[in-house]
Amino acid sequence: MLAGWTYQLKQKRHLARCQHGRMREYLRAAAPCRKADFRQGSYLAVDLEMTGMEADSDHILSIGFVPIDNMRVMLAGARHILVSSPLGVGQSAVIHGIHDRDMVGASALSEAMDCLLEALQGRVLLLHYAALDLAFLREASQRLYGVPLLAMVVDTLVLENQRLQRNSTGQHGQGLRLSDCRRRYNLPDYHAHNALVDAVATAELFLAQVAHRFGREHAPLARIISG
Amino acid sequence: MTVSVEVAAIREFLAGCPPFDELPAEVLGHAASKVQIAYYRAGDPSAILDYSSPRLYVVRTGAFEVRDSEGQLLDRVEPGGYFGYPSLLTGDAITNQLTVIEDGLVYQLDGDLFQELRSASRPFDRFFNRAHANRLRHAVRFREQSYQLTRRVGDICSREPVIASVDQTVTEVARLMTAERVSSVMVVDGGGRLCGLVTDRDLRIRVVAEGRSADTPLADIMTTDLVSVSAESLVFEATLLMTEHNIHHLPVLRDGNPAGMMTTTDLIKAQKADPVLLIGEVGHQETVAGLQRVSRDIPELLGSLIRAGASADQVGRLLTTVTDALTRQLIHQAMGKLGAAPTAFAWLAFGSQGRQDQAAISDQDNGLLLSDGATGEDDSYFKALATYVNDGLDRCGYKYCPGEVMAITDRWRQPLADWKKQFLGWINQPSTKALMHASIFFDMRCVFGDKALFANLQKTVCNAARGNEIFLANLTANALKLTPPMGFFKHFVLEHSGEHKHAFDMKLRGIMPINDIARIHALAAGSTEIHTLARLREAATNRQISLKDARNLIDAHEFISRLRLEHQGAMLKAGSKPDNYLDPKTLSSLSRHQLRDAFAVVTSAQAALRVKFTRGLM
Repeated sequence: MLAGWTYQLKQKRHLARCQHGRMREYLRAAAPCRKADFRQGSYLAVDLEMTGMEADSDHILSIGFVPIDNMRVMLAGARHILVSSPLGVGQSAVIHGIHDRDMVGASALSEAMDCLLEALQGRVLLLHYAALDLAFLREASQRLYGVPLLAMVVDTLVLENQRLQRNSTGQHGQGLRLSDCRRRYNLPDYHAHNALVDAVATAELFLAQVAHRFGREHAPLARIISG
Repeated sequence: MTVSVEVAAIREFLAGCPPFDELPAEVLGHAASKVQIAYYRAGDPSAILDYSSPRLYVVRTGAFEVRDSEGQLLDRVEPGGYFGYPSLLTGDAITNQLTVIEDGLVYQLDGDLFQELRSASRPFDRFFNRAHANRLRHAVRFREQSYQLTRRVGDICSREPVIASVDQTVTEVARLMTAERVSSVMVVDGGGRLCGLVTDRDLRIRVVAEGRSADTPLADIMTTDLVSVSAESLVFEATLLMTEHNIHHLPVLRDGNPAGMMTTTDLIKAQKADPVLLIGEVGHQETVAGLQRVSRDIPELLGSLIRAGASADQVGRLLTTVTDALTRQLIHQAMGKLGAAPTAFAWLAFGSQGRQDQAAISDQDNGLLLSDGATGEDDSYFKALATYVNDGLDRCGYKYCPGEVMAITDRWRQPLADWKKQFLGWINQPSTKALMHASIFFDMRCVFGDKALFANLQKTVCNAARGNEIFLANLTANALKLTPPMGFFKHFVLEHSGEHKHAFDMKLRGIMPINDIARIHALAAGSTEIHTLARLREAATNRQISLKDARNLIDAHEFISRLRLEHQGAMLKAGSKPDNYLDPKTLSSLSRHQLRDAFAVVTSAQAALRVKFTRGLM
């Protein structure tokens, strides 16, 4: 786990290496406080749709995000950005329902990432199964800004896994997919599948998880951060 | 760059929640894009309501309870329901409390957005105003127990104050009192503050007996040493004051201004209007004449319940409780005369008494269920019992049933096996005609006697009716004959016959169709539930109808029943015989809109019933 001082050290190192205005502004912003109660933190729930699973060969198709302030999901701050891909949508259209014809007017990856960085500034990055999305975001950041994306991350899949292990009475096969997790908290099924809906779904899942895990108990942000 | 901030799933959910469905598409989209979402955990004692900024809360999943500051339950909110709107409407501080019953997700709209939506859509605005009014009605501090102890002076004070000015003369005030038919007036000074009281007695003792002139100013004769009470005081406190000071008139003040006069007559009326006392009285009566005397207070009870803002459902339950008590007491009296019953029996109530939704006028609908061992000799005992009770009820104001559905009728006084045969005949060889008058029997309840005997009959009926398509189809065909008069608003017409040519029969065309719908769903599921609202709630739980439809039907039932109650209350007050006929001219435009909504709900529920139960059969 990344300690507070390590994070700040990395901020400095990245700043020294990066000339890109947008990223420099992002790196200069104060990081979320790891010692403060997690309820005081601001979050940005993010979901990506990609052409495949390989960060070095596949592409981001769309980015959806929604902020959480004061433990409330704020739809007014939600965005859904389609990203133009150099190769076309290809096979993944079957999964995401995004077709080449929908991509007219899509943003370049650089614009999309600028927009994401602006929203993420000062916030904790909230993802479900962070490893996959992070790989794509780091790759894109490296390519566009010359540094990987630096963020404090909360992974709802990790939180769920911890809960299942804590409550472990030998139950196996408890699904960890977003929809499986949501069902355990009496959260509604969202049928339509896109990056924004999944970002909202992740945000809601997060609120449910921490309500169940902590109730009114004080807990520093550090306790739920994955990296 | 394509920016789409609308989350389809959230917009769709809102679109399914009235009154959001009434919003223009772009306004709905705007509202959906501004939603804030929070999650609450059951049993979390922390206050959810954001006291600093009122907002509209829309329940997405879970269940919540709203209670007032004293812990009285005001509302139970489930998915698609709302809370938080009262302070948005009134601007008052939030005083209600919220409890999370079941984990859930709640969508929130901030106050500014809510006001925007209200001004963008009249139906939206009207919906929340109405919801607020309903909530207020339910919130009225109406508790069956300790009713007398918790009532406030303001609730029972019968009229507006009659006020005279301190510089008026004795003659002027005597004329005023005669015109207003009161025995006392409140006297105010130039600033409108209460400064004295003049009663009939003062005019006699201080004017006539002392030979003063008719021009004497009130200031010279009025009582200035005043005892008064606040409208917020408990009736109980006021009673103590009057006894303590030996006075019959007590000025009532609200915020220091004259608000009314409480008299000993008001107190006596208030006591009569207490259901607990009234039922207690019933239990002490040894004769029919005694019960007859007590039952004369029922209209006063009804009037006070209506004034207190009780819901139609509460009123129906209370009036039925009184009817049940009268019935039981009559049975006790009869058994006192006739001796103990020779065999087990159960006294059955049908129709509105069965459903517990009696109103100001009720005919008798009852029967006797005897154990299978009953002999012909036994029956002469039960016939005598039935005669005593039916006659007694008639004298107490529950008229003989025009269709003779009463225990006194041989056909409706039968051993268990014969009752079963009767019901199974209706169910297994149904005909629309035979079922036409049979529906009231399917709303049966045991008022007195052997519960096991009754349960036995009920079980047979429920098992036979459950999923019986032909029976249900016939029942439905009958139910569909009574429709709300949708043409009502076009032409303001009408029952076809008789003295009520221009009126709408609220019971027959409004309440009964909803009762029918509820009954059919209950029978289809083999349920033993008989109360209409409970049947509808159960049908929603069983997913026979949608939660939204159930709520709409419950609201429509409450609205029309309440309209009927107010109508009957007004007739009782005017000293005329209450009926079910509503003259459309007496409706306010708001009530007309609401009635139209209620009719539309019933009509669409009937259409759904037709599809579900008569498919291919009728």
